Amino acid sequence: MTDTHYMRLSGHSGTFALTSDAHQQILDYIAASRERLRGSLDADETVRDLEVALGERLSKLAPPPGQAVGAGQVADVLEALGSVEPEVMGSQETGTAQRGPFWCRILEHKWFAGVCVGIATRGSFDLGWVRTISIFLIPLSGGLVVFAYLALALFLPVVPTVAEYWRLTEMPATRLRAGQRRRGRLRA
Amino acid sequence: MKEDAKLLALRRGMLEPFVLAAVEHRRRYAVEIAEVLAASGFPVLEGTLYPLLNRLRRDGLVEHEWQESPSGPPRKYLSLTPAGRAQLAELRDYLKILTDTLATIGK
Repeated sequence: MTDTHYMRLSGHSGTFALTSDAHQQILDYIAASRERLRGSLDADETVRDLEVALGERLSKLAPPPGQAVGAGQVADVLEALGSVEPEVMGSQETGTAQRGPFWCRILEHKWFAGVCVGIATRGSFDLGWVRTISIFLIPLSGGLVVFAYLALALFLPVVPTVAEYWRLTEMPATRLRAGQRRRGRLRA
Repeated sequence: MKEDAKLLALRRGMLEPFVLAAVEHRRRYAVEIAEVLAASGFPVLEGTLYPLLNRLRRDGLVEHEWQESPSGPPRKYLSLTPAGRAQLAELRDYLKILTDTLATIGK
């Protein structure tokens, strides 16, 4: 067979003989995993783990010598392995450290892209005022605000709801206790 | 169908405590953890497991030791760190509180 690919996978010393389709499937799977893990601090480690696991499963197939593993078999192996499920945003990016407030756009209550909702939530401003000021700034800035809005809509991360935003900024236990103490003092 | 979705959401939240509990008494590597969970009626795919395990390690809840495998590359055997033990105990206590609340609330 001319279209046999010999593929190397992390951790495995030997190569895996694959048909061209099967080879492409694995490349796609790894590329998709990398894409899904983008932003994760453990992305490299996780892809490595997946490659090792993939290799283990492929070597169990043990095709007859000289024969390549086909696309059907690889599809089964990839399905058994499952597509990579990234950790919930926030906990994965900062580990135990506090994420803290961050700029984003929030889809809940949005009019257009949710940029104003994001700004209002991040800065604890009144949403109505943020919108009013933004709209007044459109003629005053000669339309610059519209460009700024579009740019923000394009680049800011998306958070579905305000509650989700607060969950993502959630403080670790020590900070939470400090917060409770502060609130306690205020009440006292 | 709708019921299933609710239960599924609950189960998803249980993955981390179950994984911690799976390496509480002996060191296991990812495939064994998946087997233990599957045996308890909690099947989980490796694609889901690896990102979680790496995050738990980053959070200092589990640690790993490399060990030779009879077939293929060395494996990462995971065990709980003292912080992981504390976290698991905390999760168990909290779940007990939730269960008690669910049983007694409104009585």
